Amino acid sequence: MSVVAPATPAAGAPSSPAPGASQPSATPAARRPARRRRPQVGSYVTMLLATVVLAAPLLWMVLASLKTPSELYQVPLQWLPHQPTLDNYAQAAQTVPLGRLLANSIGLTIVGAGLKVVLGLCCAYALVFLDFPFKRLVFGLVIATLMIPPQITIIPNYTLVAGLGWLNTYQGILVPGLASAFGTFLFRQHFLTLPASILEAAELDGAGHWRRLWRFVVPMSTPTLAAVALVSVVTEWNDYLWPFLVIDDPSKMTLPVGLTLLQNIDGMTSWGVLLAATVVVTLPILLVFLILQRRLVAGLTAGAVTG
Amino acid sequence: MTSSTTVAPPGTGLDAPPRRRRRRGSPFPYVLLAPSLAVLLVLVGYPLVNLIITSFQHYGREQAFGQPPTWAGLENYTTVLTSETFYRVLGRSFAFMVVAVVTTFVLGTLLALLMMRLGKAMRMLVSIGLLLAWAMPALTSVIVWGWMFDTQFGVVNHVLTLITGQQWAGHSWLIDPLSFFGVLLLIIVWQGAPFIAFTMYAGLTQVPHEVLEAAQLDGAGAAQRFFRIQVPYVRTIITVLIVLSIIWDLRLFAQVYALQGIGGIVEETSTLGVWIYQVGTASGNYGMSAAAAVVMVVIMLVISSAYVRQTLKEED
Repeated sequence: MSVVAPATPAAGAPSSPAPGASQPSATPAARRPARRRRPQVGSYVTMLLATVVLAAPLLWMVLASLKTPSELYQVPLQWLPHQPTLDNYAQAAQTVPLGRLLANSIGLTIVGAGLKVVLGLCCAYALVFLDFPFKRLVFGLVIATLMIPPQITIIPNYTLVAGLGWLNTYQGILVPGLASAFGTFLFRQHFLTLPASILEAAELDGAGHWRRLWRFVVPMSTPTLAAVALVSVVTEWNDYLWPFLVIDDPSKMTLPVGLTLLQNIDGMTSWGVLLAATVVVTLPILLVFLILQRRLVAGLTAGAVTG
Repeated sequence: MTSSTTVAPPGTGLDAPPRRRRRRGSPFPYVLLAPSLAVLLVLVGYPLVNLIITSFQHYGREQAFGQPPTWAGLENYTTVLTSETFYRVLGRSFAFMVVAVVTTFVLGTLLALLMMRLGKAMRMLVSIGLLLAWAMPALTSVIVWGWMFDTQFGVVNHVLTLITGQQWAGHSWLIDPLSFFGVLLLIIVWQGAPFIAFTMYAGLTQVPHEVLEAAQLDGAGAAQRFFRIQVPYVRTIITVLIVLSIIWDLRLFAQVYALQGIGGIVEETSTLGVWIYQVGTASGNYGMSAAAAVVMVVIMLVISSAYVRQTLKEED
């Protein structure tokens, strides 16, 4: 009996292993699936609906990019392309150096997001685990920078970057983007919740700060790390206004900037071409997401178990 | 007495080196802090100082091309603060922010609660849907939604024609400011809700099951459990999310700017960020633009100051 009882809740509710450690809860845990079943159908329908609504624009975008111009501008509207064609992609690639833009975007995103994560980690570690004078003031200032809208720092930064001769360079795009306190902020909030005992034990074992940061704090922070990495990758990849100002040489442009080139051609919007390029902008980041997402979910469940 | 102080450490000989490092004089904190602080100081601090200086100057096109600016005293500020446009833009931005934050937050939380109830496979599917919406570059999503709401060939007008039986083709969604903001709201919520959903979901999984089960045994309904147990548990996360959402939705730029590019009357749809940019870059009145920007920063700091103070208190 006692062997069967714990087995059922484990199969019914995947999230029960953590409380399963406390044996007395066998009865409520066994009752839970029955209670849950009724709302589950409704939940599934709602969720399915939500997923469709969320994904519909993306689907529509992909479909439209595969249509011919006559199909796009057809009344009444045509749902599926008759003969899916890649003409729009070809035309987009002819108008702007698509491959080059893709490479630029990927490179800048990797370097930029990587630097942001490392900077955020170091800064947050110092703010939480180290003692130094004016610590609160420093953190207050770091938080305050979050409140400053980026578009108002843009013009002074533009003069600064221009003065350095960094217009139309990669560092001109990259460096100003590093001034983001978002990572520091999230890391700090998470570090405050870490068990002090583990770090004290590490300290007793003679681990220095550097080791403690990379061997103990970072592995204990995977969900936050994944979250910050995702946010950084997305902001870097999506950044539009700043690269748009700094770069006018097509060979140094990023994808979102290249998109505006397509938007302005011939004075008329060629939706098919624009949407095809939009697919090219979106696909790589989705790929990154699907890779990171597994870590994120694993991190989340790991967090649930330790918490 | 001196001997006792020297005797004590050898017993725990291993912790002597790290403890020395932690001492005040150690340069280590600064080594960790310096890079990020330097970047923030140069790229946020410098522009901010620059902005404040410019806001007290007559600074127009000529000055941008090298003429020395002249001091304007408070003139730029009085121009901004007595300008009717400023208040209209400000009111518009705030109204939109409130609606957007509430809608995004409620929908995000509902999504998170639903995710809690789903099995692994369904949750994965939903996560991917959420990720797709969130991953979309802001500019890109505006383009796609713009196409869906296109006057002639948009799918929205088509579906509405099918459903209502009336002719919707030719209906412009962006020309009327109210429906412009409706479309904008859709875009913002569509992109913003996933982040709230993920973070809330992560937070809600941290609520101990035992507590929820105990409440359930005591006869607490789902709503009661949510407001009495889950909400208090994730209160800090909720505060962070709301503050961040307020900031993000107030300083909106790319989406508004891009949507105006597709259609819509600029004067009647500009939000604070876009308006500041237009006054500066389009009209060349950098002094006034800077003054407006300083006002905006002050507003942001006031909104978030309570939160900042609370976060700083946690430290003690």
